[in-house]
Amino acid sequence: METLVQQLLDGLMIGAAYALMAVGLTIIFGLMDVVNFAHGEFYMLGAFVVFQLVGLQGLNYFLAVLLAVAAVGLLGVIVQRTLIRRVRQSARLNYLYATSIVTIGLSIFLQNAAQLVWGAVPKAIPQPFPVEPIILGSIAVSPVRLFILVASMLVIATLALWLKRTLAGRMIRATFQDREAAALIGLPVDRIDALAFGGGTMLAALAGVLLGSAFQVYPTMGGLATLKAFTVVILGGMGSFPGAIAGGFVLGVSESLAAGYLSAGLKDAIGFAVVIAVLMFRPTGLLPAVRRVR
Amino acid sequence: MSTRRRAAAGLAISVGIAAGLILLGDAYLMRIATLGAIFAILALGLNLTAGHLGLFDFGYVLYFGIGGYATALLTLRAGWAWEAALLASVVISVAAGVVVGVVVLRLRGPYFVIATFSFLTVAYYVAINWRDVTNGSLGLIGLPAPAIELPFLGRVDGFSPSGALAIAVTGLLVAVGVVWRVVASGAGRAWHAIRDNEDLASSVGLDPARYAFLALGISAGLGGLGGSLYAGYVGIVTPEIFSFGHMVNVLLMVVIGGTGTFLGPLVGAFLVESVPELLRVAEAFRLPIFGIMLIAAILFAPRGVVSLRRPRRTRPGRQLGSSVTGDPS
Amino acid sequence: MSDPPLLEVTDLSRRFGGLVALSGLTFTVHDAEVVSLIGPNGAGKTTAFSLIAGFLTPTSGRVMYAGRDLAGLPPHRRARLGLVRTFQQAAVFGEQSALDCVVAGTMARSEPGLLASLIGTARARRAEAAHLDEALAILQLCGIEQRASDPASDLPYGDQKVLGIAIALASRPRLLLLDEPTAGLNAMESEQVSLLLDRINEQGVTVLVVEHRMEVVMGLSDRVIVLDHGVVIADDTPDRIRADEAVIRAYLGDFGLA
Ligand SMILES: Nc1ncnc2c1ncn2[C@@H]1O[C@H](COP(=O)(O)OP(=O)(O)OP(=O)(O)O)[C@@H](O)[C@H]1O
Ligand SMILES: [Mg+2]
Repeated sequence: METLVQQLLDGLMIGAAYALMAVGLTIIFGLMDVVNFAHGEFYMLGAFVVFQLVGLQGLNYFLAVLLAVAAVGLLGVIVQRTLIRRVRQSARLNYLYATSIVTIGLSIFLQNAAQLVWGAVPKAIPQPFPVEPIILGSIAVSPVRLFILVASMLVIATLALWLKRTLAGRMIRATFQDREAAALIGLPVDRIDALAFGGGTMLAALAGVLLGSAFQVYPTMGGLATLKAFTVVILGGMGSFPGAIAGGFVLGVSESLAAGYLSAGLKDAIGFAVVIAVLMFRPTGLLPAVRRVR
Repeated sequence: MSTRRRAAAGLAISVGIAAGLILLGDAYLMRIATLGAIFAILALGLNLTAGHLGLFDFGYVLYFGIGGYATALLTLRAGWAWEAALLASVVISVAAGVVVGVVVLRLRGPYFVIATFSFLTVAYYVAINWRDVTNGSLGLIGLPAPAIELPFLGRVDGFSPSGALAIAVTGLLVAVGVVWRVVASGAGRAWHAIRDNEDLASSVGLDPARYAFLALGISAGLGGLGGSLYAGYVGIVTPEIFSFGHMVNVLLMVVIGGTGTFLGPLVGAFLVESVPELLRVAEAFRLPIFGIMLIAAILFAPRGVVSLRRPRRTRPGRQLGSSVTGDPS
Repeated sequence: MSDPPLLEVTDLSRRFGGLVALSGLTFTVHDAEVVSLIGPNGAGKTTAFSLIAGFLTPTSGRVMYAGRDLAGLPPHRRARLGLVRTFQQAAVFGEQSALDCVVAGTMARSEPGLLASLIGTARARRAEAAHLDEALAILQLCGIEQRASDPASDLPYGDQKVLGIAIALASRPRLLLLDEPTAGLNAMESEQVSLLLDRINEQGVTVLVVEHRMEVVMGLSDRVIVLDHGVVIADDTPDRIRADEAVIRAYLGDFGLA
């Protein structure tokens, strides 16, 4: 019984970071119809920038996290301004094909550039959290994982509030629901795209920092992360925020249970098995998006 | 240029390059050409779905890996001869394409992209973790080198660089022949119609699902053929055969050559395999450069090099019905 | 008219979320007739076509065609039964030549079948040649044969609309559903389309047409069905429709022709 609770708890903490990453992917996909193959590389970059700032430059951890997320977000905005926007404006390009290829090219480039800069050997981010677990009865909670859970939930809640309450948030939601109608009533969809792509990459970077603090940081960590983000987004119903959040927790918990009761090797396979099952039996996902379908 | 002439040109160029290299006797160049011929088969296969049908299979090298593993298992575990294993690998790949198709062809656009990509990655992790069958990350080692009877050349042995090249080029010729046949047939016309306007195509009775299965099946078969040849050539199959790096490689060939054109994938495969080698680009810089090239190619030459020499607009007075396939090259 | 109708639409309805686009549409079309479906913007005409041709599934109701219930049949199967629709916006096969577009329209009824075509049998090659000849003849019938080798996407809008009709004809329809064939065309072009529709009908094709131009509707139709807010409000001969007070006041007025 204790092990079960322990595993559920572990799964929830990892799942929170998955949810963060998937919400970022959902914003980008839902708003711009871009399948962002480089999502995991933004996640990886977030972790490496924090490693660089804290591990090599000796900066304060929390300050470094803020800087890293902002820097990667800026990179995301630049990518949207220079690459994605160009594709959207070109009538000669197939949008889906071209944006996929651009993000694939970007992901390969960033992954290998990181390898050239930081090397292939996994790194650890020095962090301010105590190593000793917090003991609650028979349950042990590692402080860094608790931080992952709390930080992810806070960011998601803030984001949800921001989307609901602010003008920019409402414009994003309107564009999310019906891009053409939004453009028709004069919303600046192009600038909204930049905001969304930057915001989506920031969430990826934050997820990378959080999981990179609990595990290790290495240049190819983004590949699996992209895949997990895709998994969660398929699981939750593509383009649905509640779905992305629920999907993140479902994946985190099922991975944790699979690692505990089956084998550690199967941990990564379980998510994909779930995805194929979802695609076969419920292609709209668990919580389908409410979007105008054409 | 008609499709028939383009196919003939493609064949002549491939055979010419191969013959020249064999006469030159440079083992290093022959190695590049052999890999180039094998990957050209994949580029042709990916172009069938992505270029001719407009179905973006970003997990295409799944079939490359399935063909490779099938050949390795059949020769090493079941003791089959290489030729038999090659044929069986193609059949198995086609079957895999149809099975995957049942799941992914119900999905559209970005959903299809994500699903095909997911299948590839699932295969990668299955290959790593299903140790009883795949021997995990270590892979299956020591495949027998292929050997076949060829017209004019007699018995060709894959152990020698020239023999390996002859075998790979033979495979490529078969692939070019198959692709030329289907693209020039009614199926090719139907694919182009569905690619250009799916609703309009179904309004005149074309069944998009049926033609998608056909394209996916043939392209999977070509992927399996490439994988089987690759496994025989390198003699080892590891989970890396499912790596996304191969996908990037093949995608770059198609994009650089010209998506949806007939000669594009062949030209692209030749360029992508040879230019980095000839420029002696260090291994570490290869993939980052590929990444940049992929972006540059799609943004600045979306129709690939085979279309660069020609303005986009069709000249007036072009002969009636000269564009049998309607493709832009 | 004693023989059973070619098309029998019964109580057809469709909602989009909360919006009722079509409600209880009921009408029939008999063999060799030309029937017009008119009504103001958003009345549900295109929705009706999409439901009949199988591009949308009805919320309720039934479509009978040539004595069979079409429920669940996908668009390409309906097209093979001879029920073919065109699109309100010009729809062509991208940059393929006009001739290739029309040949594509003939493909689905390709005689020798897929395998023979793949192998390239002599019969398949003869069929291919026959398709090419037929496509050229259709372009001539439609009066755009001089455009045969031009990329379809480069044609002027009017020619693209006519090409859309040519592509539909290539599939040898028995019942042709035309969605605003003259929308976006100038007076001369629409006069030509109207003549073309006459010729198509003379060749035995039954025509159901959505049309905004009253001169085209009145000149062409055996019967006119008036739709408003998803409901049929009149179904009669052009003359009677012309005289129908309610229709005039509510609808023909909109077109400035009453
Ligand atoms: N895919 C869709 N999703 C949501 N609403 C739709 C959709 N298609 C049509 N509608 C709505 O259904 C109603 C009927 O539309 P429809 O296109 O059938 O009208 P129409 O009679 O063809 O009009 P027009 O003369 O402008 O072509 C309209 O209010 C339209 O906005
Ligand atoms: Mg309409």
